[in-house]
Amino acid sequence: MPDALLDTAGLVTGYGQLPVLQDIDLRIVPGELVGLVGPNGAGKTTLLQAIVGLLPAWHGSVSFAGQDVTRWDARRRARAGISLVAEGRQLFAGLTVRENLTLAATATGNAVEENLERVLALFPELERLLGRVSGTMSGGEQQMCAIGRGLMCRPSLLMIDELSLGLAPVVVDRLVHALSQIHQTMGITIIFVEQDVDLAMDTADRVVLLGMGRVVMDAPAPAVRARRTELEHTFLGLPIDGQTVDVIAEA
Amino acid sequence: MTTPPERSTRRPWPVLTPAVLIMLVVLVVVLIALPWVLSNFWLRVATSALVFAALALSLNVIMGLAGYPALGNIVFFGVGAYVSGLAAANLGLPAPVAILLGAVGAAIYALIASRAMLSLRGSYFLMATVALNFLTLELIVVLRGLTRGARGVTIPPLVTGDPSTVYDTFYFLFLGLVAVGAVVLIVLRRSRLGLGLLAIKGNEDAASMLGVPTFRYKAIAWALSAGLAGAVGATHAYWIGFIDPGSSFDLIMSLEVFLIALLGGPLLVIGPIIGAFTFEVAGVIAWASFTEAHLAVLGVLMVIVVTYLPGGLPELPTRIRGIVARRRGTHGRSARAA
Amino acid sequence: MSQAIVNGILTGGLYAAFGIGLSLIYGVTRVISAVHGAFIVIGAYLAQSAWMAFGLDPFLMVPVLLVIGFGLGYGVQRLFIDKVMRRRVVMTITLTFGLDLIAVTGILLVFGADLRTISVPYASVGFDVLGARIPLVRLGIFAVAVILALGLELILRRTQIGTTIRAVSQNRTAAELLGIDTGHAFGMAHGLAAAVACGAGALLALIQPLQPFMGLSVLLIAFAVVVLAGFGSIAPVLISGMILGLTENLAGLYIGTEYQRLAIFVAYLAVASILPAGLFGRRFYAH
Repeated sequence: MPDALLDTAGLVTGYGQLPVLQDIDLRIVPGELVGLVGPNGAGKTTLLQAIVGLLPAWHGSVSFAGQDVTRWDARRRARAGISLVAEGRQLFAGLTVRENLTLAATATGNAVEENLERVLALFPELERLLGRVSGTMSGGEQQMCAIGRGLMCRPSLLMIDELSLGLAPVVVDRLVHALSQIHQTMGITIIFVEQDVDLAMDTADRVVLLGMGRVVMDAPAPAVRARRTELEHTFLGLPIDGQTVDVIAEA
Repeated sequence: MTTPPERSTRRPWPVLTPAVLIMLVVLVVVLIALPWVLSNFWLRVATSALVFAALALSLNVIMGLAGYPALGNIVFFGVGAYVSGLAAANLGLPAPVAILLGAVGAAIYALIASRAMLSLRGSYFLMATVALNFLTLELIVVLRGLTRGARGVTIPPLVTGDPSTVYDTFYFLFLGLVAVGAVVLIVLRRSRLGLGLLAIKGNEDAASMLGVPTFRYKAIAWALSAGLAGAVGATHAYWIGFIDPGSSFDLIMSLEVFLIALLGGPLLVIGPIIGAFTFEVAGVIAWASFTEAHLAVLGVLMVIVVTYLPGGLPELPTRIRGIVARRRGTHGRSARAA
Repeated sequence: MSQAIVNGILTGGLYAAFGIGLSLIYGVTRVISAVHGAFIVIGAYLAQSAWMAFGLDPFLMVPVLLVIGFGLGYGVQRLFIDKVMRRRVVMTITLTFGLDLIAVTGILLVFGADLRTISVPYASVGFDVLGARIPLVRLGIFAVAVILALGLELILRRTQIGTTIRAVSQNRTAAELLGIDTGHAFGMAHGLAAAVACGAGALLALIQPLQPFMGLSVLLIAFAVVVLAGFGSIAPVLISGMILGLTENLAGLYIGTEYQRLAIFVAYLAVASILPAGLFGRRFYAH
């Protein structure tokens, strides 16, 4: 078994007094492409925020590339190679595409030219948009810019929250294609959150299902496909073969 | 190991529990008894504390209830002082009439200003009230035919007799104004208007969409606030016996009132009273030793309160307990706000 | 009247330099910094002292003051404002007024309460244009003030740190996710703003007698400029500064000099209430 790139052990966190994640153990090795699915409120975004350092861990630990990063803030984790494309893209709306991209490289101490070329090779569409103020672009263009900006940080782990939300099917296809390119040719480990379970199963190698702040299922995509009913039950909040019942009882 | 971040569960308004009721009764008894206990010097300090308490209560009508940070609210203190002062000095009106005129004049002034200013929010409103204060100060200076300009106005005495009678009279006058302020706040809080104001404080756009007549409510609150500040200013003019633009529209005084309201925290009525007495007594002690740096002491206090005591004096016990716990090392890493 | 117009425009340049820093701080940190006036006054006193002690021309003092101002602004941001930036305006304004009072006391203790003035040897040099006299000093003040404002704009638009500051002001969380040191960026923004304020102080010292409590009226002028300009780029700020300068001087000419300050407050409140988005339609949004 190769060394883990990301390893959370007994991770608990939440907002205010309210715990959202309960005891998350998640081990991801380099080169994986992981789809993170689950109903609304299951804790998907919370998990990404905890991994990236926007939420402090109440219990448990987060290790990244062999280092314990539990006490690191978001900035330090970004420099260490964790990149999050947050929900809603979170571009600097008043800055141009070029400024958005350049800033990401310089802030993390990476070369601008080389990384810009890499991003433009992945998303040639961005080339003519470089001078555009990013807030004025379409959702798909913004998502490309946001993923590009994440790549400018030279991450070894790229996380994308809500990959396809609000985007047209043709754009989603384009992004899924880009995702596999990032994964295969750039060799970057990816975790993406996706509402569309089928899309997640088709795209990812491994699917992690969250329900009520716990990992309900964690398996290779084909295996998950075989247990699709169980997935639906989780999404509808119905009990499945004892396991989720336990989860609910403990919560 | 880190536990979830601790949040003090602050109630927006303390319930009238027996403990609070006892505190209130004790407070009232102590306040009434003070003139028989204190020396003339400390009675003056206490009177001054009541002036600030009444002003902070008046500020709380617009700031505490409606959430409008009227930093320049001292303007109504000045308007009240000038209206009553001129009515007494030029027209020879008796003091009760002059003080009432001062209060009414200040309230009307607020209503006039409200047209222009209550559509502003946050920092905008705050700085506009400061500008209104200085605009009014300049007006008083240039309209010297009516106001005697920068030279100021001497006010005829309200009571004559031996000093202790005078001291007692003003102490009880200001105590009365504090009571009026407290009653206004308590009655407002329990009324429809007060509920509307709290809704405005929470989310003005939402309140307006729910049919709260936001502008009218804010204007009424500001006029009440101004009327009370005007009455304090008018009475204060009689107390000092002299008014001039600089001391009547003194932004430093406004900052002190602001600080006292902050010290009161969520306790809109008792808070300012305790805050004002704490502030005045601390002031007498501190300023005796730092006369040169009087303003800096105030400045440092403002910085400390905002940085370490944003919830005001009611938060003090929790804060101290937190520090003690940290000393003992039982307190974990302070969790960041989500 | 042409004289009043010339004076108004020339003073307006200085007012714009007062306002632009305040506008930057507000735009980036959402804090109205009441200590901004003190930065200007500190610059003015230092320029006056350098002139008195070494005969150093206030114009030559400007670069030095830029450095000092930068340090002050950066320090104030990191030491004090950083901690409370996300709190309500009531808190941040109280904090910055507290700092202002401390600064005023400092000025009072160091420089005393007496009025201080500078009279440079070329004070009476000037030339006549269209029946108006343009004093060389005033023209120099105008030029330097505009250069300061333009320089700030250039730094924000064209440099790495400028882009970072704009990014942080637009989306702080996203900036942190990219590894940007947001605290440093806020400090840089406040530092740049204070640098311009402090530099502009030297210019103020050339035309106004100095006294420790003048910071408040300077602050109000700076805020009036921001209110008129709305939130945005440099051109509105320059124009707003000039409008205030003209208001002041024309009121002085037609009504009386004692009405000058009154006219500024009236203009400010009138614009604030009638055109809350400023004269240029961009709302300087406050919450």
